[in-house]
Amino acid sequence: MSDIKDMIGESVNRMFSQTVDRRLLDAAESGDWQRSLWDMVEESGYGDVLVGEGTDDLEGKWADAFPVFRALGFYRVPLPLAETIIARGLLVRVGLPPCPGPLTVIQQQTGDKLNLQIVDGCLLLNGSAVAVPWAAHASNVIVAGSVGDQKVIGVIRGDATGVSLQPGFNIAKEPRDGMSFNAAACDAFAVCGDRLPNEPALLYGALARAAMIAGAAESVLQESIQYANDRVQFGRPIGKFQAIQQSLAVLAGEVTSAQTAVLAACESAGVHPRWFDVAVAKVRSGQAAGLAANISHQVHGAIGFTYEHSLHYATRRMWSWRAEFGADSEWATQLGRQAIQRGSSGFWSDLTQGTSATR
Amino acid sequence: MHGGACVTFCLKKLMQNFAILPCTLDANCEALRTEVRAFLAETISDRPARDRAQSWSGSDPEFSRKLGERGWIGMRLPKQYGGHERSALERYVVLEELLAAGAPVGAHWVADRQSGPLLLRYASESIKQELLPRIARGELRFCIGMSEPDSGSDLASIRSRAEQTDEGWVINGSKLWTSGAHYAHYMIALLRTEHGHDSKHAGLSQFLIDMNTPGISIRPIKNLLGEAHFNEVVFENAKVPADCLIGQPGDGWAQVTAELTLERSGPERYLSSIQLILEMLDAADPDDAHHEQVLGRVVADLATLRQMSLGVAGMLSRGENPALLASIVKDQGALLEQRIPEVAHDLFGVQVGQTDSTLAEVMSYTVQAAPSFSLRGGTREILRGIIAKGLELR
Repeated sequence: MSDIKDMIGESVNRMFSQTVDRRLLDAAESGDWQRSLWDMVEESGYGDVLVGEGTDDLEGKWADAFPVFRALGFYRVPLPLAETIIARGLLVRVGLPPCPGPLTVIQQQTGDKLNLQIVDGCLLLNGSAVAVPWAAHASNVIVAGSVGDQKVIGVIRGDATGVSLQPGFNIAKEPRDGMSFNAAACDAFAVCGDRLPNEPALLYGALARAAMIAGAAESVLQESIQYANDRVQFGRPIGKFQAIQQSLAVLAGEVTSAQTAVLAACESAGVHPRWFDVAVAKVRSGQAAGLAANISHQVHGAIGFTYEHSLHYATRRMWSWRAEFGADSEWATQLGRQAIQRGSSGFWSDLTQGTSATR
Repeated sequence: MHGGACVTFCLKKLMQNFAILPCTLDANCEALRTEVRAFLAETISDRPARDRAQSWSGSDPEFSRKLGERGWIGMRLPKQYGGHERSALERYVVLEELLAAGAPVGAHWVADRQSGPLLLRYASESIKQELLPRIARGELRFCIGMSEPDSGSDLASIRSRAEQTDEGWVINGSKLWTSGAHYAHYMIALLRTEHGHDSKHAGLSQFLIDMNTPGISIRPIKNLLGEAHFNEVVFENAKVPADCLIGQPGDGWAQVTAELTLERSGPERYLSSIQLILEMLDAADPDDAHHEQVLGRVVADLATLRQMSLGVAGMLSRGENPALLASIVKDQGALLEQRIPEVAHDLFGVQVGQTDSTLAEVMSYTVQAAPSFSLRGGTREILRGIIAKGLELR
C-alpha cells in the first residue's frame, strides 16, 4: 500500500463528501453539466492518476487509481471522471499526449458497426457506436480499435466534421449517447504494437466500473446500517431483528467480495491490469451489484423506493454499471472458456500464479 | 412520518474499509509450494477422485506421518517443541496446496490447526514437551468437545462439568457431534467448572483429556453419508490430572472465542468442493456458452475467495485483528462450497449414486457432504449474527 494511494483516497473522499449532495445529483440528472465540480476535479489532478511522470513511470498506477474509482461509486459522482482517467491512461501508454478533458472512450469490437481505416496517414472513422458514456460532454473521444491486424488508438474531437450524436441515458440518467461517424478524421492516432493489451478500453473500463460498483455497494451498506439503527418498529430499531441482521451480514459479504476482487486487480497491475484479474473483478462486482441493490432496498422498505430517498442514486448506478464495459455474464463466459480449455490439470496452478511476487 | 428515515443525502465518509488488501507471496513461499507439489505428485497421485473429494475429512495416519517428516505439520511451533518456526504464510501455502490436491489431512488437521497452538499458549511445560513434538510428527489425533445434546448454537449453555478434587478433576456429562472422537488420542473439551454465575459465559474452562481415560465411552453416530464421522462422547466420573486444565479456570469462553476467530478464514473454508469444480471443468463442453458462463462465475468466486482468505492470513501475520473480515470469509466460502453441487446438477444433471464417471462419484459425495459446510464450526446463522455485531448495528 503506497502512501500516495492513502493521500489520494483521503483527499478524494474529502472533496466528494463536501460537494456531491442531492441538489447536485438532481441537477445532473436533469441534464446540467456540473462545471464547477469538474473544474475542481481537474485542478486536483484526479483525471491524471493513470498518467506518470513519463513513459517510464506507468507501473503501479492502478493501485493509486483504485481509491478514486471507488469514491466515484461511493459518492455517486455525476461526472465522466472514470472515462477521462482511462482515456488519458490509454493515450500516454501509446506515447500520445494526454488531452484536456472531459474525455470518453470507445472500444471497437469484432462484429460491431464501427470501422477504422488509415487513409493518407489519417485515421478515419465510419459507422456508429452505442451508449458511449458522457459523449455529449466530451471534448475528445478516444477510440481503441483495429485497422487490419494493427491495433490503434485514435483521438477525435467531439465536434469534428462527420461526427453526430444521438443523446441517450442509462437508468441512472448518466449520458450514454449514440455516436455516428461519416468519414470522420481523428486529430491524432498511434499504432499500439504491444504497448497495449487486447481491447484495452474494454479492459480498463471494466476494472473502473467494477471499482465504482464496489464503492456504490459499500455506500448502500452504510446507508442500510444507518437506517436499521434509526428506524424503530415493534418498539425497537429494526437492526435488532435477526432477519435484518442476517440480510446485512450477507450484504457485507458481497461488499467485501467485490472490493477485494477489485483491489486485487488494481494492486497486481503492472503498466496494465491483468486480464484474468479484471474478469474476476467485473464478474464478482456484477454479482454483488444485484444482491446489494436487492438487500439494501429490502432493508429500507417503502421509503427507499421513493425518489425522495437517496438510496436509488446508488442502486440505479449499480444496475447500469454492471452491464457496461462487458456485462458480468460476458466476462464470466470468457473466464469459463479459458478454464475449460485449460482443464483440471492447469486450474490450480493458474489460480495461484497471480499472488506470486516472482511471477 | 417515517421516524428516523434518512431522506436526505447522509453519506458523510467511507465508514470502514471492506477491501481486504491482497497478499503477495515471496520467493520462499513459492519455492515451498513447488516442494509440496512435488511431494504430493509422489505420494498421492493415484488417490481416487472420490477420496480427494473428502477434502479435510479424508484421513490417512500414514500420510500425516510422512507430512510430519517433511516438516509440514506444526510449522508455526517453536523448534524446542519439535516445530519448525515457519511463517504464517508459508503454512498457508502448504495448507492450500494440500487441500487443492485433495490430500488426506484429516488425521492431523485439528491438532495442527487448533490444539497445537492452544497447548503452546496455555498448557503446562511438561504437557508441551510431551505432546507438541508428537503433534508436529503427525502422530496425534485431536478432537474438539464443544456441542452437547442440549447445547448446539447456544454453546455457552453447556452443562458437562469438571469438579476439582485433591488429585485433579472429575468429569461428568456428554459431548455431541464430536468429529473424529473414535480415532482421537486427545480431546480439548469445554466444560463448566463453576456454577451460579450471572453470565453463562463465565465459569467455563478448557481441558486436555486423554481419550484412554477410564470413564469415557464413545458412540459413533452415522451421518447421512452412512459414515461414522462424528460421535457422542459420555463422561462418567472420568478422572484427569490437575494440569489438564488448559489456561485459567473460568477463561474458557474467551479462549474458545479467540481460537474460533483464527480458524474462520483458512483455505479449508472455501476449498471443500474443489474436486467437483475440477471434475466439471473436464466434463464441460467447450462449445457450450452456458457451461462457460456458469463455470466462469465459479472461477471468479473461487479466485475472489482465495484473495480474501489469503489477504486475511496476511493481516493476521502482520499482527492485525481482522475478526469481522475473517467471519465474512467463512460465510462467503460456505456459500460457494454449497453452490458447487447445485451447479453440477444444473449443468450435467448428474445421476448421483452411479459410479460410471468420476464426476458422478465426486458429485455423489459432495452433494451429501455440503449441508455440513454451513454447520461445522458454528452455524451460518450464528456466524452472521457475529458479522452483524461487527457492523455496529446498535
